[in-house]
Amino acid sequence: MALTIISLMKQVPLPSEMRMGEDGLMDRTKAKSIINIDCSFALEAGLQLKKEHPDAKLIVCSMGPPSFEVSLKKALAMGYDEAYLLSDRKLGGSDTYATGLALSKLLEHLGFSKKSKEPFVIVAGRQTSDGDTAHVPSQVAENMGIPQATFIETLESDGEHIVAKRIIEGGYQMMRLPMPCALSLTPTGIPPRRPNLKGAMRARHQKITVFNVDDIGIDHSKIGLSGSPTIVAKVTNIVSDRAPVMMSEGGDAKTLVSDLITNIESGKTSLETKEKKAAKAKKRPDFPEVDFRQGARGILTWAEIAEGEIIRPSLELLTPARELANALGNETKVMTLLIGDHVDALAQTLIEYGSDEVIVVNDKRLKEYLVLPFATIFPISLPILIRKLLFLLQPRQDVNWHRVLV
Amino acid sequence: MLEGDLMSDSNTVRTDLLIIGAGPAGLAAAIHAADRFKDNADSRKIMVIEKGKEVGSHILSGAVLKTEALRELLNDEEFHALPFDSEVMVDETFKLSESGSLKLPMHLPYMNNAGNQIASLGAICRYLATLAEARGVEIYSGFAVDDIWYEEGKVVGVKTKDTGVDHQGKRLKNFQEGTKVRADITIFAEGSHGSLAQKLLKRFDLDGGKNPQIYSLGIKELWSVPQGRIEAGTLYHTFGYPLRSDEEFGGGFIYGLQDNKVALGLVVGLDYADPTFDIHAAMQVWKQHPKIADLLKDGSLMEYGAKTLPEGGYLSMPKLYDDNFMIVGYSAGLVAMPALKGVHLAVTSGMCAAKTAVVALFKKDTTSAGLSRYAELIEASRIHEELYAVRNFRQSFQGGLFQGAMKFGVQLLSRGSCPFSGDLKTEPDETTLQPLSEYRGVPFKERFAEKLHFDKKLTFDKVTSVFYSKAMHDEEQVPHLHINDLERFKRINIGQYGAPCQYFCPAEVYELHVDKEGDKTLRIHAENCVHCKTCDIKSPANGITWSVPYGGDGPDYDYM
Ligand SMILES: Cc1cc2nc3c(=O)[nH]c(=O)nc-3n(C[C@H](O)[C@H](O)[C@H](O)COP(=O)(O)OP(=O)(O)OC[C@H]3O[C@@H](n4cnc5c(N)ncnc54)[C@H](O)[C@@H]3O)c2cc1C
Ligand code: SF4
Repeated sequence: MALTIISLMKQVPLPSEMRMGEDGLMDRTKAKSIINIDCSFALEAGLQLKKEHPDAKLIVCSMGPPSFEVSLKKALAMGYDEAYLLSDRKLGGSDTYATGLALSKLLEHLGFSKKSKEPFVIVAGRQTSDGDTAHVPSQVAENMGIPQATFIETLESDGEHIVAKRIIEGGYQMMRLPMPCALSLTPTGIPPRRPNLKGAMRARHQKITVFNVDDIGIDHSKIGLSGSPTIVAKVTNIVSDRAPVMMSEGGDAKTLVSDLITNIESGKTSLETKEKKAAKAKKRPDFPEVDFRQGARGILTWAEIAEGEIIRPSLELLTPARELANALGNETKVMTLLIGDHVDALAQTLIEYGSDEVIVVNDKRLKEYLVLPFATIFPISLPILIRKLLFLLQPRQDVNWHRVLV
Repeated sequence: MLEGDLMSDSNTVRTDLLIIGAGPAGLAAAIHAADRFKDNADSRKIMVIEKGKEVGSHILSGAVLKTEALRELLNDEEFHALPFDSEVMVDETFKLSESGSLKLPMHLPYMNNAGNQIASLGAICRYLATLAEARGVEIYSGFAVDDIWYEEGKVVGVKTKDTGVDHQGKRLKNFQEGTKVRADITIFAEGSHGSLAQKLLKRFDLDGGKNPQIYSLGIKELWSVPQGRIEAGTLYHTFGYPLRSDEEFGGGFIYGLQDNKVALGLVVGLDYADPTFDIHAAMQVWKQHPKIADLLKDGSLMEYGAKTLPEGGYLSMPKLYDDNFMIVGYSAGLVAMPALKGVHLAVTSGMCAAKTAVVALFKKDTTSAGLSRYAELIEASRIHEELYAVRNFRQSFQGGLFQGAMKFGVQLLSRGSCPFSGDLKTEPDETTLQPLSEYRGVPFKERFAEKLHFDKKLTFDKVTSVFYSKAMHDEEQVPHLHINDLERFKRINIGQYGAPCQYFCPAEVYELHVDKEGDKTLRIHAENCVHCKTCDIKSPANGITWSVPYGGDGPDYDYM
């Protein structure tokens, strides 16, 4: 049984040259492009797997404009055997949901599905530097109905299973997944190789197969803007409300340190914070709002535990949750799910940090975080919350949370 | 060194004509050879390997171009589409004093620029690369050639650099063996002080009996200035301040470009004596001269870079070929002094090498005898014509400007020869520095004490400057700058000369660290390097060797 390694890859603008356009969308036209960093680690993970399985076939797939061919060529130069690009104007404006769907359709078109007789593994970058959602690998796995693992650093295979090293709070998890499966890779594993000249010469003569949406038979209404449930209400530039401060200046360690000391002593490094601006009047978004809540309201957070303690992001999360609850008014509650073994005592901490109710699930078998058992607890506990779910905030998404009206 | 084995040939490729370096010399060779093959309905393969991330990433020049050579290289349509910036309209030379300037009423001999074009040589090379590819030449950028492949003592190709090793050279999981390229003829077009060309000179004693090559370092900045400051097509050259006419040879250039851009720089001969002389800082001092400061006021720095240029001229030109290889362009030391123009000679030498290579391949004689036609073609070309007459120009100035001007005046009358002394010798740049204890002049820092505080508007410290070169290096590799003998370096370079590399390096690569006990060691920040090669040239007692880092590393120039 020959193994196929499928790498999902995206080309992104060089982060240092990325600009936001007038319309709030990323302006990708001016910047130089590179392979998304996380994706380049996934490409390398695939090549590493091939070292152990020399007869494995390496395939790289991407969705994007024809300019993506540059990066696909690079993947071929690194050692990939085949490259496929799904490219169609109709895909413009697709969000992660539509992208995940389109990519899984592309794979299906190439003959890969849950029912495939031959084993395959999908490796993808954890997230892209121009989207930062980390949704797509999971969406692809869900659409295909195959197991997935995220935050993977390295992987191995015995031909039937994938053993993957997953980063978790405070350490690693070793996961064993049956094939086919999908993995998303962090940029902390083995750095991508530089292609050698021979690889580049081979790539020069290799063909990239380009498909449009009709080639892979995907319903037009499911892609592009019409297939994308995400609405970006607004994008703002973050403007720091304090002036930058030069901590110290100099060409070598000695001047740097002495400059720092002088600056501290003269008070030059103390930060000036402006008065907090008065809370601005709330502006309603300029698209129609539909309230599906039918009176039920509440915010659900999950408190992650590592080595017997609640991890910091889970506590930090309660601040925006609290603010949001207050803003929504009408006695909106913040509820927190606490899962583990003998964790009752931690509930108090969560209340102190802003939670209104804590739902504790205690079991010896839940001492360590495990994806499936934990994931099943969520829906099971939902009835307890009596459909009070409004917002689901996950501690990992500590940067941007999307406004989703449920 | 690779003594030819084809045992592990899984990673070996072959081509007929191989060219190392996609500068004007290498690209001209590729284009002309492709044309010649086509004329003969021959489909031989030409391959070009370039270490810059893209063609042009490592190209830095003035540049005022004499266009005849490009006209010979290209067809009419291609020539007219060359991305020149602007034609020279104004051409003036100034003698600077600390705050004054005096316009020279006429041009220095050999410095007339009427009809020449100002250009970004990087942009020209990118364009030439598309013309070469359209002719079927395969150009691979982002690959560093770091070894020559010999068989029975003869060059038979090269090897690209292994990647994926740690600081000690130990293979990492992403190790990729470099590829061996076998070629019937290899043309080395690596530019100034090519690292492979240096190996060839030694191995085949190509420079035996010649004057040692001497160099200048050129620091260049590209600025955007407010409308109306300088017309596109304006050339100003300066000499004098901040250089001392008796000690430092060189001068400044200011070229007005389209869209209110200005290219400016300072070029200084590396045969100076003060071990603390800092050319980057000298350029910052030069910019504070009112003539230049007024021009740049409220403008902004766009790019920064530095590169050396060979200046020895005709008498330092090595033998340029041997069995299976030729050397072209700056690697061959081809530059027309005193105007510092090298592009047209690079192109011409590339074309001469291409003509020679094509005939040699057809005749199946790529031996030294088969390639000797290259030297004949060069002798019959503008290269000889332009270099021979000024063969004694640069050496004349090794004793200072006044003496130089006198000697050069005589040479102008005597068609380049020195009636009383015979041809003049050069001294290698690494030997002209004086130890700290012997140097009697005012050290650099004292000379310009008031002008060395950089305001980050008009003037910049080195680290900030390097940022504008976009230099980057993978840290996971054997550092490409090597101290040849640590003990000797400590004793001579640090002990006697006070580590001049910390001053002459234009990219803050070298830092002299003094610990609590007063013990001095050199720290190397190789990731800053802009590949100018000064350290390889100027370090006393052959202190430092520059070798190629991973392909694609180094600066990433846009419009230099
Ligand atoms: C500051 C300055 C101002 C100048 N002004 C003028 C001017 O006004 N007019 C003029 O005519 N000339 C000028 N020159 C000279 C002109 O730039 C040179 O003559 C010309 O660039 C030489 O061309 P070349 O092809 O030999 O080398 P380069 O242009 O240096 O090209 C060499 C190429 O080879 C690549 N390379 C080197 N080693 C390797 C390796 N080991 N593996 C792979 N690739 C490699 C390099 O990255 C580079 O791209 C100036 C030069 C300088 C530095
Ligand atoms: S390290 Fe050497 S080659 Fe690199 S920038 Fe400094 S002097 Fe130039």
